[in-house]
This record gives sequence, C-alpha cells and structure tokens, in this order.
Amino acid sequence: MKYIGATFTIFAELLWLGTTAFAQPVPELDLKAAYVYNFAIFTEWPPESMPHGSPINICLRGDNAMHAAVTALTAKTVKGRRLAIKPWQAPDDLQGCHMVIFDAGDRARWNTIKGGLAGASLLTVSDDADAATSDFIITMRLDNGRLTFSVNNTAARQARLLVSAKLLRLAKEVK
Amino acid sequence: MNHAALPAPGRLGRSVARASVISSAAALLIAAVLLVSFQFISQRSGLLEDMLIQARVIGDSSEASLLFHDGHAARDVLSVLSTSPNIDVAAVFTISGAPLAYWKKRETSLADWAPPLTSYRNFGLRYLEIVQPVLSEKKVIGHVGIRVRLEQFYRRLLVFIGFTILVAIASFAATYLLLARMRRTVKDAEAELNYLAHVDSVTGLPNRHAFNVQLALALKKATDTGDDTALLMLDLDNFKRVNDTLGHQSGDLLLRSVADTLTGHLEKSDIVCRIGGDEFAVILEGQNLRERAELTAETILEVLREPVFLDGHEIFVTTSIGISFYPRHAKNLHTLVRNADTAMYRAKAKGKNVWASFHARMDTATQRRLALESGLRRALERNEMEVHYQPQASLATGEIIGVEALLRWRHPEFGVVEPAEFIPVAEDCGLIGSLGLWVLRSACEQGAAWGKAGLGLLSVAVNLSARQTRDRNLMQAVSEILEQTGLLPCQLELEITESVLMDNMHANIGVLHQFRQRGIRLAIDDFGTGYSSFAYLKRFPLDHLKIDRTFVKEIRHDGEDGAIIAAIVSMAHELGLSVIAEGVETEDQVAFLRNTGCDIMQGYYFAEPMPADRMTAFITDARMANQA
Repeated sequence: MKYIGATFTIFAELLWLGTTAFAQPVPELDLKAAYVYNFAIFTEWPPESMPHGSPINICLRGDNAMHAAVTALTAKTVKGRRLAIKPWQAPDDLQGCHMVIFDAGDRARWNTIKGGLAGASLLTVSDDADAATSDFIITMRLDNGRLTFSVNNTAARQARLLVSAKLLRLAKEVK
Repeated sequence: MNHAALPAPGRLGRSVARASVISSAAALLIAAVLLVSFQFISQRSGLLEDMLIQARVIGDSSEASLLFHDGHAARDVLSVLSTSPNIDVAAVFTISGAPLAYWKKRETSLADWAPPLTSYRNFGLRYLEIVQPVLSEKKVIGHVGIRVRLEQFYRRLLVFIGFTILVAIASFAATYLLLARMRRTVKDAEAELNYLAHVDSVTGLPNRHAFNVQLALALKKATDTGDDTALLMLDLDNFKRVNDTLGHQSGDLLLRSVADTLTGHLEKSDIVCRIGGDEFAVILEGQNLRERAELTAETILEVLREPVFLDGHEIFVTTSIGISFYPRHAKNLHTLVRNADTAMYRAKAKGKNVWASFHARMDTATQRRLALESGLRRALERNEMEVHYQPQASLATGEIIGVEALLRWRHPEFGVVEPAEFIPVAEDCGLIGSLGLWVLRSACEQGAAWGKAGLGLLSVAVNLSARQTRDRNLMQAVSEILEQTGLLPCQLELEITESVLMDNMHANIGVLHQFRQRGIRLAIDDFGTGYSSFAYLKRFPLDHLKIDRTFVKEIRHDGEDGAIIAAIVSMAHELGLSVIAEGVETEDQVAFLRNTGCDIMQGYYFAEPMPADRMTAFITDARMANQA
C-alpha cells in the first residue's frame, strides 16, 4: 500500500469525476480507479467468457488499497454492462472474474497463482511498479508525478483479450 | 434614280441579329452564373463534409487521450492533420474547455482561435470552423475543433470561374460568327424580298406598290414645301395586240424597251413606274410644272414614236397620256390618280397617241360614266332599253330590203343616251354580252314577226361589239336565237366594225366562217375609218360593206370623198360585196350614190330610226305605195 501524498495533483477533469469545470487535485487512488475503468472500456473479452447481459466482474481483495475507489465504479457501465466487484481469497475465487486488480501486497500470491491462470480470459492489472516480473497485462506506475501504464500485449493475446489500439497508443510501454 | 425612296433593306435582319446576340450573351451569362453557383455550393458542401469526417475521425481517435488526459497522445492524433493543406488549426478540448492538445500551422498565431464548445460549424469568409463533441460511453468527454483556411477553396473557385468565362467567351464567339453568317443570309433574303416587293420584274421599274409609296412621299413633300406634283399616266394603245399576236415574251420585251426609252429620255429626278399591264406612271416634282409636264408628255409621245424591232417585226408603239396636277386638280393621292386616269381615257378617246390634261369637265364626264355604268345594270329590267329600226332601201328600186336594229336607251335622268356613249361603258363593265343578245333576240323576233305578217323576208342587221366577237359561245347563242325566233339565217346580217375586225384578225376569220356556213350574212361596218386594206378584206367572208357616214356627209362639198366612195364601190363590187351607204340625208347624196353604183342606202333622207310598231306601219305603207 503506497501513498504518494494527498497533494498529488493532476489538473484534469476525468470523466468519472463528473462534469467538474475547474481544476482540482485528484487523490491517487481515485485516479487509479478511473484508469481501471478506462482499461475496461478499451478491452474486449472473448464472447464465451462474457455472456450477453452479464456484468464485468472486477476481482480484488478487500485489503487492496484501491478497494474503496474501485468499488465506487459499480455505479457505472461499460458498453451497457454493469461493473461488479468480487472479493477473492483463493485462486478458485477467480473463476468468473474478467479483471483482477493486484497491488504490492499480492506479490507472493501472484507468483503462486499465475501458473493456474494460463488460458483464462483475465485482464490482470497491477500498480505494483516494483514487481520484478511484469507478467501483468497492464501495470500502472507513477512517473514524475504522472500516472502512466504499460501493456503486455503478448500476455493479453494469450488471454484472448483484445486491447484497443487507442489504449496501446497511450501506453508508456507495450510488450 | 427610282430606288431612292425604297425602304432600306436589312432592317429586320439587323434587329433580329441584335436580339439574337443579346439573348445568346444573356443565356451564356446565366449559364455561367448557374455553373459557378452550383460549383460553389457543391464544393462548399464537399469541403464541409470532408472536414466533418476529419473532425469525427480525430474525435474518435482522441477518445482515449481525453479519457487518460494524455496531451501527447492527443497531439500525435492531431499531427496527422499536417498533411492536410487546408487545415489551419486543430484542437482537442477537455470538457471544461481547456485545450488538451493544440495543433496549428506554423504561420498561425495560437491565441487566434477560441470556438464555442458545442456542436458548431461556421462557414465564414476566411475560415471554415467546425467543433464536434467527443463521446465515450454516450457521454460528452470533450470537443474537437478544426479551422480550415478557405484560400485554396476560393482559389479553386476562381480557377473554375476563369475557365467558365473562357468557355463562355469561346461559345459566344462561335455563336457570334454563326449569327453573323445568318445575318448576312437574312440580309440578302430581305434585300431580295424588298426588291421583289417594290420592283417590277419585267421592266426593273418601281411597281404599283412602290408607285403609291413614291407618290405619297412626293405629295407630302409638295405640301410641306408648297411645290407642285404632276402625275402622268401612260397607257400603251396597242399593247394587247402585240401580246396576242407575238406572245407574252415579246410583250415583255416591248414593255422593257418602253421602260428603257422612258427612263433614258426623262430627267433623272422624274420617277417612272410600271403600275399595270401596259400602264406606266411618271411623277414630276417642282414648281410651275404645267409646261414641264406638257413638254414631258410631248417628249414621251415623240420618243415612243420610234418603231421597236421584236422578232423581226417592226412594232409601232403609241401611248395615251393623261396629266393631273397636285394640288390644283386634286387634294389627295386617290383623286390625283383618278383624275390622271380620267385624262388618260380622254386622250385615248380623242384618238390615241396624244396627251390630255385633266380639267373639271372631265370629272363631270367621269361621273356621268359612273352613273351610266350603274344605270346600265338595271336598264333591261326597267325596260329602259328599246330596239329601233332604220330601213335600208335599194338605191335602184327604192324598195325596202331590210332594217338595221339600233339600240336606244331612255335614261330616267339623262334622257336618250347614244349607243356610241353607253356601248363602250357596257363593254368595260361586262354587260355587253347580255345586252347584245337581248338586241339580237328582239331584232330576230321582230324580223320573224314581219315575215309572218306577210311583209316579206326583210333582212335584219344587228351590230356586234368587239367583246361579243371574242365570245366563244356567240355562234351557239346566235343559232339558238334563230331557232327559237324562226328567223331564217339568210335574213340575219351581223355588222362588225372595221376596227374590231382588224383588231383580232385570226380569231375573227374563224368566227366569220362559222357564221357564213350557218347562212348568216356579214357586213363590215364604218368602212374607211380604220387601216384595213382591200387585201385584208379579201380574206374575210363578207357580203356587205358599209361606207362610213363621214364620207357620205362630205359628198356635197368635197369632190375627193366622192372619189373615195366611187373607188370603194368599184373595189367592193370587184370583191363581190354589195355596198351600203349610211347617213344619207340629201337628194344630192342619193343621186351621187346611185351614179357610183352604190347598192343600198340608209339614212334620214329615206327614214329615221323608229320603234317596231311605227316601222311595221312604215313598211306596210311603203309596200302599198309600191304596189299602187
């Protein structure tokens, strides 16, 4: 869990914050949650993993720092689908997830479960910038006060996920 | 000289051509304006559509940049526009209106542009401005704006306008050349029509239509300046004979020769026109025209006296001229022409090849002639016509051998009108046919009646007019009358004057032979007044020769006429003709005629013409006296 500080400011008006017409500092965790939402927008899951009308299930552990901010996303929709938050403990809990969010606290857990997730259409997102591995499909990190992300498109393709070129274009790094 | 007053040719052609040039120029102008307008509208909407698509593409591409608030990425998207030469400024605005990315042409200042952040398009004078919202998940997340410089648009339009003008000018030049050619053709045609409408094709002189125009002009000029106008009307005396005997072609040649002679001998300012078959007119203008007009008439008579040679024939043309002056004799064109005509007829009546100037008495004569003409049409119905008979007696025995039927007209207004006056009128207005047949029928009925009454087989002499001899049905009409009345053909004697006989010799010889075969007897009337020779006489099947009364009248005073009569009688006898002397009034004349061997006499000395009933009594008395 990591705070860069409450004074982390970005002079931007993000869609999910509503139609605020003036600049205001946005808390880092809220910004990360907004990014998560945007990732959902630019990702396409294979149809068999996402039946018609089903919500997009976002799985993260309750002790995840972003938990509160991401939970706030459930009020929104992506391409007509609701966003649902699912807590998980064991790897089996990831069944039915579309998106899993990790943080630095999940480092050890990730190493044990990632083998079992091969072939599953899971969009893995992490803000653990220090992680030795970069097996996550999307990794967010703070870069000179600016939140950036990199995309492991190879991993995405293995997971049969289609990451939009628009998103790839914005990525700091694409593997 | 004669074409001076003809309307200028080509007037119609010029105005038509001018109208065509103007209308084709107008049509081209309208076409050019429409083309340019259409081009403007279609290019404008094409440009607008292109730019809207561009804006949509950029908006679509900027969605992620806006969502992640990534100015670099947004600029990358916008940088694609650098290939588009028209786009001046492009920008991506966040939802609050702050520019996320801004791209501009190097020469454009950034602060220039702050469009309203809504769906907006503005086609201004210099720029086309387009702002479109960027949507994500059906919500507006920002705006894309594009500003397009219109210079190139206008440049293309100018090029198009220039090209259109070039094409229009080229088309106009082609049209103009075509029209010029058409105008030439129309002008030529118009000139020809003008010529045909105003010029007589035979003589090349102005025709009747042009004459009326010229005369009206002359009268107007005379009224304005106080000058006089003289009108000379010419009628060729024997043109018809030339036409009949030598053919129309020779007739035309003669007319042309006369026209040439006239124009050759008259003043350049005198206007010569051909206004009818053998009628010419000369218009003189100036002051104190009387002498000049008379001199002109004399000149014309003089120069036309020269014979004309046609097809080896020597033709003598004579003409009768009538002169009338404006304003002395007439106050308007119509009267002037009528008066000149009247004078011309008077000249003809005076003996041809002379001129006559109009005077008021002639007008009276004309009016009387008109009254006679209208009176003649009803004279038969109103029983104003009467046949009188003058007996003819044998000079040897004094016995009545026949009568001559003489027509008398008792006009309700003028009293008794002489045949010499009204027969020409009847001939002119076509009444002579019915009048002649009426006389013939009356005379034949009367002759037959006398036969039935036991007064003997008197011969009945009836005059044939010139017109009657040309009537092809005459022979049949005479035969019918003879059959219906019962008069013997040998009792009927048809008298034809010498001049009528000579006028149309070929035709007359045929007619006379027909009568002869029918047993009708024929006499040549008024012998000695025409130009006939005994040589001609021989060719006609005649029975009698009537010596003209003028010879008989002179017997007492002049030995020469006596000699002529003697000569005529002896020659006639040689040819087997009996001789009748007309107008015998004195005993001396009777004695002379008897001495020369003349056969028959007719005249007041013996008896005046009288109505049928008195004639019947006269014959009866004479018979009784003879028998006693």
